[in-house]
Amino acid sequence: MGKFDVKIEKNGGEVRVTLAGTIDEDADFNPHSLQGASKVDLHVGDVKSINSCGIREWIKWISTAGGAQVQYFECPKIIVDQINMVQGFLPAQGKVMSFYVPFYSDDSGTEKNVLFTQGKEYGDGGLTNVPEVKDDSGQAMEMDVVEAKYFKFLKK
Amino acid sequence: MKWSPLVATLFDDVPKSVIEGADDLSILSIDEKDGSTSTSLLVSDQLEPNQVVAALIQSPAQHLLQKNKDRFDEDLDSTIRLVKNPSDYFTKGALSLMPQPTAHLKIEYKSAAEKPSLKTQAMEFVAKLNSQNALESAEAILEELYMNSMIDAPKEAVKMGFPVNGNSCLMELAANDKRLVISCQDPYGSLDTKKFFNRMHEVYVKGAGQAINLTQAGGAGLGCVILFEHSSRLILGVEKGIRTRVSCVIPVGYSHRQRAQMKKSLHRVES
Repeated sequence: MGKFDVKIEKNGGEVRVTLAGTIDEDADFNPHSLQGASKVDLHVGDVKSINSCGIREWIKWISTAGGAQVQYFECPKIIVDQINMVQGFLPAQGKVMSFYVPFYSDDSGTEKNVLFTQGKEYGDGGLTNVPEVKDDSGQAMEMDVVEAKYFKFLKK
Repeated sequence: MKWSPLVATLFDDVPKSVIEGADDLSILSIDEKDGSTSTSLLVSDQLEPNQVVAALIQSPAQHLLQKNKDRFDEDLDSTIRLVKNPSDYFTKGALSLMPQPTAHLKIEYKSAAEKPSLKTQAMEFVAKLNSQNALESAEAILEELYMNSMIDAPKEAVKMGFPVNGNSCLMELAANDKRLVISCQDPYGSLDTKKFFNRMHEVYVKGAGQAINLTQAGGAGLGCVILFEHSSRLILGVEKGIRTRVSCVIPVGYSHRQRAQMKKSLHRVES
């Protein structure tokens, strides 16, 4: 179980935050207010899990960014699920710059997570270029999501 | 509707549409040994999660079972056992839902300090199933069940005047090649299933972002829906003032997309 970890680097009004581990009832965002920032880049590729208390603490914390430009990077599926399900998890002015999409091979049962990046695999309106993904034996893999549900946040 | 021979002898199928958009919701009555047919369950194959919750809020039935290809017979057998012998749910635990698992683990815990060890043992158990999406769901479910048993349940017990005796909670996992059951028992019996269903309904109707509790004391109020969203079946069992057992069935060996298309079942077991 990954321990909750927050790393913050400030450069003037620009703040780069890296979150990792488990975001649960013990995660304390209080020392990490984003007040006064003009831009927040939030990297979440190493977040392992988040529970309902963690969701609440996240929403309260990210709202301290106020009107700052907020960008999320390397969102794993558990974060994309929250963005789609919980209004406010991604602030109204926030943008997802990259996120993982699960792929699956029916033949081998192989699962892979592939990083989609803004401007490369998707744009503001939705997907633009779905990559060809293959399993270890060269078999084509398919996106393993219900597209209308998983990519819902791209339509906002 | 095609029933297995065992089921055909137990049920009298009476089609009845009670939920908007669900044309084939059926009420099935089980013949009791004394000749009565007092207990019923609802069966469908087309309800969305919010409709499942609404159906059990509106109906006196305690079980709403949905048909999923290749899984229904086993799910139905398990439901019949719950209906006919509800006390087994509390005494046999996860084994009442899966009598012959290929793997089984029980972890007792009574303090917050034990959470890391509990999660490590449980996740090692689930990792052996070789299913990344089952692993993700198991982690989400373990988080919510742990928090309910250690934080919410004792608080509710105090409010309800039930004894808080310091007895251990129990996390139980059982698995076969198609299912993983995660079942959590606390020693309080303070879960109000009506309130739980109403809260689920509120989250589905308003949306999680509107329904989340950001300011009041207590939990965020999303755990109930998180449990349901990660399960194919959710079973809530309460012996008032004695114990609560919440169990989630996670499909194993399916892709995310196949799982997202599965219909969900909801059960309450009260004594």
